[in-house]
Amino acid sequence: MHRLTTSILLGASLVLSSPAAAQGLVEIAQDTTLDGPERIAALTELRRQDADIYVETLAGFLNSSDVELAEYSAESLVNLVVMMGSHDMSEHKHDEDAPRHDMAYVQDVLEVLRANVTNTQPRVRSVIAPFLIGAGNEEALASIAEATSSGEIGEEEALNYFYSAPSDLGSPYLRSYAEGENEELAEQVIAVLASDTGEQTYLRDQILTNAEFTENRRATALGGLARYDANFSNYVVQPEVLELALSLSRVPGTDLNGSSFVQNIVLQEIRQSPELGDFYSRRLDEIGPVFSDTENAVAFRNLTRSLEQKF
Amino acid sequence: MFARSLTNAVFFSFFLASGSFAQSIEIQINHTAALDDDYLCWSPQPARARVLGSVSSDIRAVISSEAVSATSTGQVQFQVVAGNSVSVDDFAPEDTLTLMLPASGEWVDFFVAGKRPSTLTKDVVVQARSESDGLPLGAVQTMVRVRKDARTMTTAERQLFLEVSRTLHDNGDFEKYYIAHEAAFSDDIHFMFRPPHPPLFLAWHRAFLLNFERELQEINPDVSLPYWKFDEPSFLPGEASIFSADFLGETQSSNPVVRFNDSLSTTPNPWHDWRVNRQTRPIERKRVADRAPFFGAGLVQGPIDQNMLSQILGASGNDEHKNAGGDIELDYHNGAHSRILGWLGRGYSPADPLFFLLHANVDRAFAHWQERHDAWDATGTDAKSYHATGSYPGSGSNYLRGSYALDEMWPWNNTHSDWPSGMFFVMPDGPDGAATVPTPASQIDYLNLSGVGVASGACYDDIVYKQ
Repeated sequence: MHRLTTSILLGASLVLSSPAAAQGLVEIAQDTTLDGPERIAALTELRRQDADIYVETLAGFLNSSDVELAEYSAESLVNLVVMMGSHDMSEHKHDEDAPRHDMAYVQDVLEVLRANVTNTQPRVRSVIAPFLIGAGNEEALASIAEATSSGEIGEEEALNYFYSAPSDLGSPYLRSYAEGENEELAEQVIAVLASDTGEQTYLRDQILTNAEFTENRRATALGGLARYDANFSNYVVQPEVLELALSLSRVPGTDLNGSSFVQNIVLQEIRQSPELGDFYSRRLDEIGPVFSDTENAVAFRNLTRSLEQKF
Repeated sequence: MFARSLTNAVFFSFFLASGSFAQSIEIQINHTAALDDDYLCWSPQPARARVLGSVSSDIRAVISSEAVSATSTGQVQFQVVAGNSVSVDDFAPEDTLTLMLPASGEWVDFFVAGKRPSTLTKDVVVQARSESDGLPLGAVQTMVRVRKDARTMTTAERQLFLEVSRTLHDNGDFEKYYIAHEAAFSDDIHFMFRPPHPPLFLAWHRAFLLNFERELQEINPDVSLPYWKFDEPSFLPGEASIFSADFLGETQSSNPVVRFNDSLSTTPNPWHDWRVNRQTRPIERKRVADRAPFFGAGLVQGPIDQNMLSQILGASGNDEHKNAGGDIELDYHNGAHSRILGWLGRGYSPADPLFFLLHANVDRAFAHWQERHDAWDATGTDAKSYHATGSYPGSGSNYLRGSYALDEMWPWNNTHSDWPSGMFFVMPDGPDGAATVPTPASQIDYLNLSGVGVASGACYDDIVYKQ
């Protein structure tokens, strides 16, 4: 019976664009007894008939107790504007003679999304927040920060949204986690910041070499910088940094690949620098245990022999 | 250069193996002696054969498709037609062809087309044998080079694609793609689904992909652009996801930066630490590629419902480019972008090379629609094939200059003042050897079904020339 009703409504709606037909499609979309594809087809048809009612309907569904419908609506709204580009539509630069398209609805959709960035349903806001914040929407970013401060949104969830922000906007938020009390989140953030060329100097100077932070936090910075910082080999050869790096690369639980990066770079630098070779040849016993994995152990043994012959 | 040398070496080895040290018949594909244009898709391409040296009488030769090795998968087929072209209406290829080659050395024309895709490199030989005793008289190696579902690529094919795209990136030839895409304002190449339905979305992105793929092929002609079938799971039954650290990258739950095998891995991924000037971090993606469908439990699927494309292709009114293009853009293409987000959710989305696999799948959807609705008109006069027909009619028109079927498109033509300046693409040479400034109309009949133009040299593994 339902299927018949749906078919009739969908069929009728093709030839009859009316508020009644639109309302019928809205009811199909809301009917949890129907199959998913039928409900989606009703919304698609509604979009074809009347884009404005479609947006209004989706906006209403964002607060539906049917979480799937709410999430689908959020995704559909984001779909409408995901290709809005990085330019402000009001500054669209065409010649005077060029046709101008009505892009006002983009602003309408963005308004709906902004109003729901802290929607009570995590599945809804997890669609909306990364999109808006990724687009550099400072209002959305501030809303998430406020909701996090008030405890409406958990810190871990918020962190995923802050990651979405353009680096310059997200930086203050991410640094607060890197320096914050939550050790686990701090290490997560540090691992992300290490890949960010705009944050590597901060990580080196404020985290890696800062004895106020835990060894694990600093070791995470070390592993990340070793992997991603193009300047790493320049500053790691400074004896005090090198000593610190070797020490931190032994911290249990350190990212193994990051640790290997450190060790490889150290080996390379020692090979290339007689002064460093001299410095470390006198401390082989201390450095030796750092090179724990098989590949580097072999390399270190060979290096040791060459240093012993040299000095 | 290395790849070219390798190809020549394989070619030479083949003749050693076949025991034929001197060819008595020369075969050319695309009417040139060059080896780097001996690549085929499904479309028939011109070929020719002739007798070499001095012989006393004409030679009857049988032309056939032979495998280079036991692992070869490629196969080609042949046809002789009167005139210089083949259209879909008179396409009737055969597995072998018997040619009478004049003793005078005069060329004899025929057509050759792909029948089954190659795997990785030139694994097919167009072989000429004596009709009387079957001895080999001449040959040329070729490859049926098609765009494949990324899930079906061999490890070697995957590695080649990753390496060649990385080379393009490191050569400094990659940045222009995301810069151009971002500069082409949203309502010029997107938003086809909204009135007044700007027409460029499908045709412009087809040319954009072709430019990218041809640039890759200039580095290594064996490579082709794979597609990410984002409306299906990212893995084939019993196999790993293509979104792994050794292929297209692994999305991490607590880090937006995509994980690729780094240089300490036994299989480093060339896409590791892929950076562009626009961003301070390497590639970021926010969402996983597979998920459960909306409205009810079910099998894991890709970001887009598996029924979406068939619904779009069969929807009422979608026999028109304007409507179908809008639905493909919004429901199919936008959905894929917005469910992955990260770089793919922004105007600079081509900064993530996954963009090109995503869009190859969108372009494949366009090609499926064309096939279903017979929408191949390249003359720029058929609104069903491309709804902004003709040339830019002047101010007051519906669309920007550069959007009409016969207009040259930006950024291949930098003379349109309506578009941003300072970005000029040069489309690499196609199979016909000529670089052209693409128009929307030139992108429509990409397989050259009409027989009056030139096939683009790009084709999909599941859309053949003629059913």
